[in-house]
Amino acid sequence: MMFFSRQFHLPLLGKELIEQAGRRRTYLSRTFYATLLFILSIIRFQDVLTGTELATAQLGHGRRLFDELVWLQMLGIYLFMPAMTCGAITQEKERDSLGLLLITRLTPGSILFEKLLGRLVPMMTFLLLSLPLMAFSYSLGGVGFGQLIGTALILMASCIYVSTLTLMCSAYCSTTVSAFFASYMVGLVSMFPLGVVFAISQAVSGVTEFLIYLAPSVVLVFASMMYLAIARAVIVQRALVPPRNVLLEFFRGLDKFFANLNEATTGGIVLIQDADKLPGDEPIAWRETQKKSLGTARYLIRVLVSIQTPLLFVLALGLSMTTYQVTNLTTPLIVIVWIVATLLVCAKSTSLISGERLHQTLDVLSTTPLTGREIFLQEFQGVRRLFLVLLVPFATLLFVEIWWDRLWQFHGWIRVLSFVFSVVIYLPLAAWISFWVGLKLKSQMRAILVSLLIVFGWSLLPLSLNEFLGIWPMREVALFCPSAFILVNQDRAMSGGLMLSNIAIYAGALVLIRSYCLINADRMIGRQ
Amino acid sequence: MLVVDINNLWVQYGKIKAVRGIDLQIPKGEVFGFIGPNGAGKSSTIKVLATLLRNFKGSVKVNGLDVRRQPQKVREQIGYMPDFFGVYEDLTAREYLHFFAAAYRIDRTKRKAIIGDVLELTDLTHKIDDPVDGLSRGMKQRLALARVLLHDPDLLLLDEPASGLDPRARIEVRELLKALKEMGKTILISSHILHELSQLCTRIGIIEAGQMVAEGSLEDIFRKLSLKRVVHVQLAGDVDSAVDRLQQISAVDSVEAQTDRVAIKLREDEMSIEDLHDAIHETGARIRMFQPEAMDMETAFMKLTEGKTA
Repeated sequence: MMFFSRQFHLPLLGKELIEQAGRRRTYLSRTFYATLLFILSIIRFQDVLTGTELATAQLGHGRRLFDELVWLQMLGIYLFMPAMTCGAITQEKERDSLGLLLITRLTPGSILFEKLLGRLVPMMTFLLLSLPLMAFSYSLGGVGFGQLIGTALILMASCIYVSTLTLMCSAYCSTTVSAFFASYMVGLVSMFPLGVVFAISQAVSGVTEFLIYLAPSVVLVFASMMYLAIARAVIVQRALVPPRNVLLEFFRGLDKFFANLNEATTGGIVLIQDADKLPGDEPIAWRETQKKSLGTARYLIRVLVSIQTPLLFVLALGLSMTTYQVTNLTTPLIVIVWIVATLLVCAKSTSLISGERLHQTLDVLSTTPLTGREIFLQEFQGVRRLFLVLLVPFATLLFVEIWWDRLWQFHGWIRVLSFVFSVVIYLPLAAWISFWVGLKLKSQMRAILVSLLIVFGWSLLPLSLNEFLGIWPMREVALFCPSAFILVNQDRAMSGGLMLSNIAIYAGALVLIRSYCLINADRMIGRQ
Repeated sequence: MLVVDINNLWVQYGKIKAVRGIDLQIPKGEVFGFIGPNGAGKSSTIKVLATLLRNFKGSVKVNGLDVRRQPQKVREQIGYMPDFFGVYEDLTAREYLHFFAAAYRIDRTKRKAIIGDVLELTDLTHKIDDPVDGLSRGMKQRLALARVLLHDPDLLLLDEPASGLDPRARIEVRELLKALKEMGKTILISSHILHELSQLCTRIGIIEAGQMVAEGSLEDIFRKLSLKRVVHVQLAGDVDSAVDRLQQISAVDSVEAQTDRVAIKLREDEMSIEDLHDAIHETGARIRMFQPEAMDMETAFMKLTEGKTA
């Protein structure tokens, strides 16, 4: 690739590859991916790989192994590729170097092309890692040559599709964090039209095995070209856009809406005025609760109304129509509230210390007589307020379940307790994990991404792996996976033992992380 | 009494030794200028004093308090101003100062008066309700100085206080520092703007590659450097034979014939410049120009440092 880069004068690609080669995480991630892939394959296909069956009995098993490997690779592409690519252009914007690149002889198109190649190379190496397993599955039989070639084609097309989509978001957005979220959102939204096009293309392509794979690949490549064209159109226009605080803008928009609504309905009566006092003896707590957008009473009420209004509307609509168990209605709502609450808590907690670093105020704060413990606990005051607000939608859902299912009559107290404990333990746990990540990582954006990755990875990965491997009962997965615990509770499969074990594990983890942070507070902010 | 007492300070970041065995003593009321190129170890030394670095070797004391063992007490004795201005963009100047007054645990009843005093000193009273983010860079620096004065610390640690300021703002900050000097504050100030320090400091230390290469009053350092002062001379007539004769003068270290002049390196402790003039005249040479090289802070700095970094 370096030779290719030199021959065809691709300096940006050369730089990208040299940077990747110099990073330790390139090799760590490759090793991790390969280890995970091979371990999963060994567990999933233990019977085939260890040869406990007769050799002849294994013939034809290749198809199953092959299909699941392809599924795994697809999952890898759609889950990890956006995270790997979203910073391609935004990082240049954040370093103020995109403008410099654009005034060189590199054209906007070549910048995009070289960035695309630079991000495709690592993903292709990930795909190559599965080649021995693919070959093994082919040797077992059941996989046609056309399928083999077609699958390789569709995997490559998927790589290009996801990377161009993310590149488009990266060219448009001003920050890596916004590009990260935009990539997953656009990717999710584009699934539907893509699915329709797939179905049509398969219907018209006939039944030839190779064509079945070729048609979607063509669609993906066509969509990729479209994304690249959009990226080309916006990269120059959006090269120097200043970063926007989307959350703040959202709240300002809400503010305006509610102010207008209040003006129109009550003539402008204000019940709760934001306190405009000076700090008392806890200056950081004062700033967190009086000056930050996710800390002041006014904004927190906005957050509450934004969550609670649609929730109450859906609940009212659902309860008037449902004839089944109420959990059919509440479980998806609980999942949504959990996702929103976790996102808010993680984003807020991560930015507590990393925000101080970003504003270069941590050093000054560290030379005051405040102890590290005091600084941390005061920083957390705003998060505590956010918790209280987020308890309201959870309490609403719990109340609906108790009232509708008459849980008190059916000894449902274990379920109620599990629900309460999950909220009062998991949310602070997610907050302290995010806070810890924010302490460790210097960049606020990277800290938010990493903390979300850890929290959602912990919540979803064991669940997904178990779904794939199918080796443990859900109740056992619930011991080390918070989302499984919530789902088990909603399925009415909760027992006292499981609840207590879970509380012990997660409350223990919470106490451990919190104590670790508070005891080592001074060291963690880098002072004596 | 020593306000700063550093003995054999070593600071290391990974494999890089930023500070290598510095000794520094600053008595009360002194303004000590810390000069050195970027990466010389100035900020690291100041950060150790500000209790912001954990990993260092050696003994560091502020007002007799050990920085390693009593960091909390040390924090009450110091006012630290970093080389950047950290902004809480959501606060006004009043809120900013009240925030730090609370952080320094100043009694609530006294805060208003103290803040009024420091704002008056820094000439920012009229900006009290302006958002901090909207202040000019010079005003922000003055506000930062107001902040470090809130708890009336014995020692001010000012890391590059004038960096990035326009000439007017730089003069304003310098005048403010002179006022603090007159108030008897002990100040450790780092800068690479040399003439800024020469007007302010009672003593300077020149640091390079983590080591102190010179320390003392400005006069001391100039005297040390003047031991081999270069004198530029233009001679009429046969320059080559004149150069041979000049080399015979006992206090002359070397003579270098340049295109239009002769550069004489003189051991000034053995012969004064005036005597050199006479000595040249006595050799029979006719002097067209006689120009001793000026000794200023920049020359001293350039002479003492080689542009090395840690």
